[in-house]
Amino acid sequence: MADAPATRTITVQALARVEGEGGMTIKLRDGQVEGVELRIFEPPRFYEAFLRGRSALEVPDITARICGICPVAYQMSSVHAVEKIFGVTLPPELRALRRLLYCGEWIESHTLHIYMLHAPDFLGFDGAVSMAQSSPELAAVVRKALRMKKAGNSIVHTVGGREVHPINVRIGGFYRAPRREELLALVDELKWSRDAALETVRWAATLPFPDFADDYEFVALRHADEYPMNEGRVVSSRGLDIAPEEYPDFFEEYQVPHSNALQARRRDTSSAGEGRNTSGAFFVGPLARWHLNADRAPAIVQEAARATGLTLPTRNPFVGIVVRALEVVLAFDEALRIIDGYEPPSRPVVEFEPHAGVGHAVTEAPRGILYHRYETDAKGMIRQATIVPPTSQNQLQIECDLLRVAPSLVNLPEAEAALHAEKVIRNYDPCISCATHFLKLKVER
Amino acid sequence: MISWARPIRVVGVGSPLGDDAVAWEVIERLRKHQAWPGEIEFHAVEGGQRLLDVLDGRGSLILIDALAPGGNPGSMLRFTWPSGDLEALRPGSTHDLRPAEALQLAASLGVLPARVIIWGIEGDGFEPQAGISAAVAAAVPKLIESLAAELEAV
Repeated sequence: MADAPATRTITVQALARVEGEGGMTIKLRDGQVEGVELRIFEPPRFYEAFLRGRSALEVPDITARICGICPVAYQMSSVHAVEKIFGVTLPPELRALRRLLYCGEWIESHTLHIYMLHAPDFLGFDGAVSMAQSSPELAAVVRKALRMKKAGNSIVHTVGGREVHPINVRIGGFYRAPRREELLALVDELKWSRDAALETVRWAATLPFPDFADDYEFVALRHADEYPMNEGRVVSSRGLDIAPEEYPDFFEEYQVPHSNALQARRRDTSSAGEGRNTSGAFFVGPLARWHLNADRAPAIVQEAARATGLTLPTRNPFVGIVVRALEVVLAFDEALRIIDGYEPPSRPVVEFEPHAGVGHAVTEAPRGILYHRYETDAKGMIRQATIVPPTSQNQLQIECDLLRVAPSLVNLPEAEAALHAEKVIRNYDPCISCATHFLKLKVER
Repeated sequence: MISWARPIRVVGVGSPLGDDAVAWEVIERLRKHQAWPGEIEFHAVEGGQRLLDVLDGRGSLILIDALAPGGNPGSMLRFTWPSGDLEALRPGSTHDLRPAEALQLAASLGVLPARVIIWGIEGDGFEPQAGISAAVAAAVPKLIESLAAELEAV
């Protein structure tokens, strides 16, 4: 029996803190890693089909429903792509409102991930519930997080019309611009939250980070003078520098048998010369944004980064929790800056004429770049839609990280091995769960 | 006159996906019919984190959610919290809390109301844009009746 292949498969059917349709399999043979598969359920695929034949004017409202956590990201990429077709240029005040709305979503999404989902990994808890129950101090930390997240909610509610699947964004601007008093009413809470966010950075920097780094190709937007949200060129840490319209020339989606989400990879891996990215994997999200745009962050955020004493930018995805915390400071600071200078526009929308064309947009969702492409007919009806979410783009990179850690999991008990793998996945804040969240319940009577 | 501790919050947790929208439908109908004017707050939320947002430790909570398919779409279950069946559910998402997790977290943060009732409607399908199935839609008025009977019972 000694020469029989010792195969072992570690399967996590429903990743803890990953929605039920997500799962992961690590296959081992004779102690060697044979393969890693990450399975993701990805509704954007369905939406590409639904959108065909619908009016382009409906696109921001339909795509907002793809995800309950990052609806603004789907609205922003879609509305900007369609506006490119119709030749819409927003005046500065409407552009600033779009950025303010995105700040709200970054705050909500990042705060949730930092405190409820990621911090328990570092502190040895199986989730936010046990973390909050462990001590009054950690309960106070969670309470503070919820208050910060509510401040983000209030921005999305005030600018987006409601907190869930905002409805106020339209092609050409907004249905209604908030009154100045409505935004000023948020200021006190946003100031408290910006201070709380600075504390979060200091706290996150003290967490114990495993020694883990790779020569990732980071990909993010880069704007001439802003930390990127809604606009910019797509750049990478290996010299890529393209317009959003060129995205399909440099990135491709492909099907893998084990997941119903498409994965994305770089197309041009053979021509990049020395140090080329041979796998095609690339890394999007806060770590990539900071790597490529730290110089665009406001002074308060750069100072907070320096004060951590950490080497930033970093190639350690576990330190992503600190970078996410820095982006929360940035979002609160930007929100306050935008509100301070806000004067309601004379009209909340600019005129345009629907016509045939093709438009692309890339915006920075909380978890990385989100690419949309639409083709319209002469009446402005959608002929074709392509949506490449950040998690599809990170999926190959996540599998590469899992391959690297897999050998160290061989001799661990299964539950412990699964937990380690989950932590690697959670670094990417994957948006696997744009799916249902109903109670999975079995009652035997 | 309802005798429950105020504020009374009826919260529907759902998503736009098929029968997962049933709790939102219940909330929508209650709002439209202006049920119990001035006495009840209605909230339609997506996911456990949004549920947490509306809790502050005061009053009473009625939570409505879809249940995973079990062969009887449209059938209803009622729980009082704490309920061993629900707490046993494991955490579920990379970027949200399950409703049961949110209730546990609310309890540990001291923001869970003293009275929490949960109504579940068993779903059939959860495909995007599928709409609510006939069997589940038929359960909506029944659930509203049950809610009314419970709220108005002396």
